[in-house]
Amino acid sequence: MRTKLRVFIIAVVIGMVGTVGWMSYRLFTTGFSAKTEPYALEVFMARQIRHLAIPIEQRDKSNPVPFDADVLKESLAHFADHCATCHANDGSGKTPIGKNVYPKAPDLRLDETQSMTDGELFWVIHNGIRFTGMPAWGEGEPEKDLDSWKLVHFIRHLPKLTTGELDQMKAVNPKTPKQINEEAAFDKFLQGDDSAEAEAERDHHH
Amino acid sequence: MLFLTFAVTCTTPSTWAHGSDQHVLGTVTLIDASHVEVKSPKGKTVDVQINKQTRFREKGNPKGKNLPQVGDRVVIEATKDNGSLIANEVHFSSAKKPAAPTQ
Repeated sequence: MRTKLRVFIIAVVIGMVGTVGWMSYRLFTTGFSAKTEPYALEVFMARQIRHLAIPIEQRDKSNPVPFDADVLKESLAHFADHCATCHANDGSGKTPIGKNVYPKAPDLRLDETQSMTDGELFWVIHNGIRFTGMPAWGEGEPEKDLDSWKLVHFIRHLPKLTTGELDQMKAVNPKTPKQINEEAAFDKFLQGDDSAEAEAERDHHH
Repeated sequence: MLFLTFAVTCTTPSTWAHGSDQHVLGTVTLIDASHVEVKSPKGKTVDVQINKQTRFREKGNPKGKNLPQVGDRVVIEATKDNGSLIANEVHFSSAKKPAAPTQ
C-alpha cells in the first residue's frame, strides 16, 4: 500500500514538473511575444478562472435596462467611441490594437462571448480582465452603471449589425488629426485630384 | 544603402499600412467577383481580393448598390492576410460622371 502511494506521489510530482517545464519552455521560446496565440489549455483555464472569479449573484443578474431603439442608438455610439478601437465596430476584434494584444481581442459575435450571461458581460465591462488588454470601465456602484448595461444589449445586437449601423458607427469613431487629414486626402483623390495621393502618403505615419 | 533606399521608394505600391491594415489608392484596371486590380497614379499595380464581407461605397451614393467598374477611382481599406490583401471596404467614384464635392 505504502509503495503504491509512493509511486503515485512520484508520478504526480513528475507530471507537475513536466507540465511546468513544458509550459516554461514554450513561454521562453516565444520570448513572451504578444504575437503568439495562447494554447488551448491556457484559453480553457483562463475562461474557467474568469467564470469562477465572477460572484454568482453578479453572474445571474439580469439586465435592468429595457432594450429599445433609443438604447440601441445610445449604446451603438458608446461602443463606437469607447470600444471599437480594440474590438472594431462589428465586434470582430480586427483592429491594429485588437489583433496585436495578448490575448487577442475576441470576436464578440461568436458563441464564446454570446454564451456568457448578461451579468458576466456586465462584470467584464465594469471590472475589466487582469493580464489582458481589457480595462475596467466601471465607476462607483455597479447598480448605477447603466451605460455598461446598455453596452451589454449592444454586444447581444452585434451578430445582427446592419451596414447602415456600421456607417453610423464610422461617423462617431474617434479620429486623430492625421486620420482626418488622410480621409480628406482620400476624398480629394476620389474627386480626381492625383496630388492627394502624395498628401495621403505624407500623412500616413506610424 | 543607396540601392536599398531606391528599392524601397521605387517598388512600394500605392498602399499605406497601419499594422496589417492598408489603404490602396488608384484606378480599377480589372474587376471580377473575387478580386480587383488597381493601378496607382505612379503606375504600380496592386491586386486586392474581394469576398462576401467586402462593402462597396460609391461617392455621392453611399447607399447605392453599384459596383466599381474598370476606369473608376478607388480607395480600398484592406487587411493583409497571409501575403494577400483582402478588401474590407471599397470607396469608389465613377469615371463616367464627376463625383460631387463633399462640403
